[in-house]
Amino acid sequence: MVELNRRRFLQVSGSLAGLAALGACGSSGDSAARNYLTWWDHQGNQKSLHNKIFTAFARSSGGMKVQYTPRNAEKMGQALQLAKQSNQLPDVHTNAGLAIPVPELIKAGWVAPLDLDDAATARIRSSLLDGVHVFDGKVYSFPQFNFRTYSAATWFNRKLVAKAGLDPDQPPTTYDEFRAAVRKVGRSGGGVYGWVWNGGMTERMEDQVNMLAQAAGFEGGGGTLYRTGEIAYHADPYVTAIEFLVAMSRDRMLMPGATTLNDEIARSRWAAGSAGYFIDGPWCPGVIRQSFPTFADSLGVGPILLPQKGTIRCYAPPQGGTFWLSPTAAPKQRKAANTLLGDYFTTKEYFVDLAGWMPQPPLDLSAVDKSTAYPSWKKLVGWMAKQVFLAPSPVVGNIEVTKAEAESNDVKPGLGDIVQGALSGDVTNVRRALKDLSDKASAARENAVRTARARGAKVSLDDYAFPNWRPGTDFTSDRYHG
Amino acid sequence: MTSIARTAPDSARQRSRASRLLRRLPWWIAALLLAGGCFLWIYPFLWTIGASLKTAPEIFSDGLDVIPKSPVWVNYGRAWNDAHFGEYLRNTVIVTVATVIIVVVRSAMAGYVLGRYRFRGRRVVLVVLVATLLVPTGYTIIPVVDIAQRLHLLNSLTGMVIALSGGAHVALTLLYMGYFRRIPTELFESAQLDGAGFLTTFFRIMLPLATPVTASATLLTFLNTWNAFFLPLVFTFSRPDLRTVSVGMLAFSGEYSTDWPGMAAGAAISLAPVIILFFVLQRYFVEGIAGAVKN
Amino acid sequence: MWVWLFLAPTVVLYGVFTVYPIVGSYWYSLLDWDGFTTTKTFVGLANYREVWHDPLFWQAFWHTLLFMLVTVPAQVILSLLAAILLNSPKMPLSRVFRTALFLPVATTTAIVGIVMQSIFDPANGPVNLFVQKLGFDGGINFLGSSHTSLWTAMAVYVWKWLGITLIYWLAALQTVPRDLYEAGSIDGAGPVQLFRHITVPLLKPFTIIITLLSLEASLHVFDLIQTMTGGGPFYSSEVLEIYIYRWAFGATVPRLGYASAAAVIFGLFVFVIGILQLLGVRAARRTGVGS
Repeated sequence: MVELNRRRFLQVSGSLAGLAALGACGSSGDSAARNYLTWWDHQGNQKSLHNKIFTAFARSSGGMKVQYTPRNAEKMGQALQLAKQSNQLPDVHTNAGLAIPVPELIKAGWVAPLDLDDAATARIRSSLLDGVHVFDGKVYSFPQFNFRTYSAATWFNRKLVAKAGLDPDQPPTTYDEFRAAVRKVGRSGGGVYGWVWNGGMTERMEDQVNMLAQAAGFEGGGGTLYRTGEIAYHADPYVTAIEFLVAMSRDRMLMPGATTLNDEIARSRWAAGSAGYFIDGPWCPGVIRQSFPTFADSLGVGPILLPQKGTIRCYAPPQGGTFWLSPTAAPKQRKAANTLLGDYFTTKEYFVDLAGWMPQPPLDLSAVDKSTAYPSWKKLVGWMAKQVFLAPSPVVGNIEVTKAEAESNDVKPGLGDIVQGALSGDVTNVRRALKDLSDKASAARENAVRTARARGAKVSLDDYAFPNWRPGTDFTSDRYHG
Repeated sequence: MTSIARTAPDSARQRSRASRLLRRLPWWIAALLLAGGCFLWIYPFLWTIGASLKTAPEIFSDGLDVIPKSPVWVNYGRAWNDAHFGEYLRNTVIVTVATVIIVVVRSAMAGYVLGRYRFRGRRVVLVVLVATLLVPTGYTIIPVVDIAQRLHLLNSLTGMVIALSGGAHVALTLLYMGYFRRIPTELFESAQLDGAGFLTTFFRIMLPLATPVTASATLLTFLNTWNAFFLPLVFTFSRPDLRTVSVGMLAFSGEYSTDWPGMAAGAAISLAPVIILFFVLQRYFVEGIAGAVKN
Repeated sequence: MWVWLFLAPTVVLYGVFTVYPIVGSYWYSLLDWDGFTTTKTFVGLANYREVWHDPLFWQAFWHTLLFMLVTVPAQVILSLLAAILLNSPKMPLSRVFRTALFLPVATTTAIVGIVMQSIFDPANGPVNLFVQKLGFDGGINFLGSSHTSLWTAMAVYVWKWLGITLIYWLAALQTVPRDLYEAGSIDGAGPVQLFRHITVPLLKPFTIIITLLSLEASLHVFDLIQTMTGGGPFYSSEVLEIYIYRWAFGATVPRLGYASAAAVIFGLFVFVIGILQLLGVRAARRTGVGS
């Protein structure tokens, strides 16, 4: 037996060595030996724009080829995690699916500071914020998009709306008008439904309902009241917005299968003419231009819906950076990446080109008019510029808040789940479910703050309150300590 | 029967044909029913082929129609050239073939000794195999990557093959084990009398006997490897030229939209080899071991 | 000596790429770790305690079990019937049928997802047109109602994977020597008797393995459910794999330790069930009930 065991040991270790040797032949991955940049991006829609930039950069003096990999947004986070684990982070990457606070990312070696030249820094300086893009005085990233945006615009099919006897130039603006318009389209025949939605995507719905609640008068964001820092999902505006959606669904005005659809499929069906209205973000026409170009003439848009006629006021936190540099990039790649980002991703021409792809509104809103974007998109971005204000952000007020964020755990069922449950009839008492959510989220936050404090973070619940916040104003940097 | 046939060949042949038809009738009815069921069964597959030849609006406005108005062959061009499916297909074939061979041979070998021999440690091996059979493994990718990196296996097809063949179904071993255990002992004895050694017995007699199991194991491993996603993803981070088809499929989905026609075309391309393999392997399920035993 | 030489490849490869990672996840389950940062805090059994008290975990746990209990017998029995039909030399076109039954196995899951959403569409999907003809006004929202979503997913699962079980059975049926049937027929046994006295006893060991294979496969339903219902509505089709994924990667702050703990609890549970079954089989054998 001893003999056998020794033999076996030799066999095992022999095979292991064999494995290692086999693998070693093919191994190569360190960036120093490479002569190109690696770049991962979840915005596959802008592939052509990026390829154009990369080609120009490769031809320029000091330029370098870029090996561009568009990644699925849903799987990006996991891909990054595995790349990090195996020391293979791409030189430049976006952070989709990596919702960890940036200071934590810096500490763990995910991102490195940029070193843009003065001209580039000057172009973006006004949009840089401490605690969002700048840490310890170093610029880590810069935004590509403007914060003045919301994900719940009322898109519609002009032809179907006209056929139902409605004026495509007078889109519905209130809940009642929307209900009446949807009913008309739904009754206009041809198997057409009034309204289709991404009811299968709880996270997107959460975002949309947060926006609808603000438009309905909620003076806070993501359930938190700005002035007091209190978590109040159960406040009237949320209940009103959700009950409006549920009533629409109950009265069969929502396409029946919509509660399982994600945005892509819902949008595709809408663009194929099976429903009149579709609630979606500003990126909608960008997808239409690429996948359903023949639908462009039918594209119409209205602003976010309100319970009654009034002024729209929504609030959005500062936009984070898009592209981040990996600390593992070799000096050569680092230099190239800085030149590329600074010379090509901060200029007016870039924002004009970007606007042509109609994603979210570009950082430089003045680029919109000069772009080749559809009129409906330009109109929507114009509305958003007036309707969306800069929200206060606890992290900008006190960077230590990120330490509490890192300790905080998700609360389930979340807002999106509750909305879906209300639509499917599983949540019958919306207000009670929301109250529950408020309580659990408050407890989770208190717990996170307590844990972070115990570990030495200078953070308190007061960091979530901004007593000097006023509705309809931008909460600019100077107001944090005023 | 024979004597009648000799005296009155015509009428007898007619009668026997009629009775054979009559005997076969239930089978034809079954076939007819199955044919109906099969249409439903393969419908999504037909739809995929149809969608690969449609435009995006057509896919969603036609709903469940299969036939495209006018075939859009460009979709295949996009999948083949822009999404590099030609290159990826080659990688996938290499990886899959190598993995299938390793997995089948190693499972057969392990199953053989576990099924035929009693030895110390057998029970431990069996318990570990069975214990891990039903553990959810989707999230264990991190330690896998960790060890692959320490063994310097990343960024090579060889490494990918090794990792994939290590993560393959333990059930295949059990399948072989069950099979070999049931082979009559006399066969072994007669082999030993003929002077066949351990290796000869296994490779010349036992493995050929297990052809139906091997066919199943090949197909199952083929499917798993062909569709494997995370391992090929991790193993090709720094070497996009080594990507496999399932990783390449990602190229069709963007942040807010998916190129459905392109994806359907990619799916059709990657499906073809699977279906061909199945059609070929079927023979082995049909022929079975009866012939093998006689030889 | 040959024994261990033959086992070596499996022991090494399987040990390194399957057993070690599973053991690794046991370690993770004791940590408070998001999988992204370097901060790993040892928290002992805190994750287990939290998982244990999460009603959504138990709901997902139950869904997973229910999924197994329904789909495995359905899949195993239906495919056996199909295999017996298609194994007979008298069956016309059997090759074509086999391929047809196998096709869903090979069809890409992401695409199956969208096709199924159309097929089960509550308004104009073919299934609902049929249901409405039967007299259910307004049809049934198969995927969108919490009463039916899990069951619909089960049906689609059985549809998709029946082909693979069919292949196991076909292989198993090949081990039944044809002469046995011929001898049986000559002795005057009908098809039912042949099945009961020849096929069933010979297939017994395969039944166990095929069932095991199907049980194992029924745990891996992530892609299918994610593309069809995403676990919804309101968690009504959330199985354990989705639950684990939601915490490990889908959460705003991922919790790999917590997800691992959930997986470990489930793994242990299944293991215990397996052991009990094994003991049961042994006991039955000892008392002479079995063969």
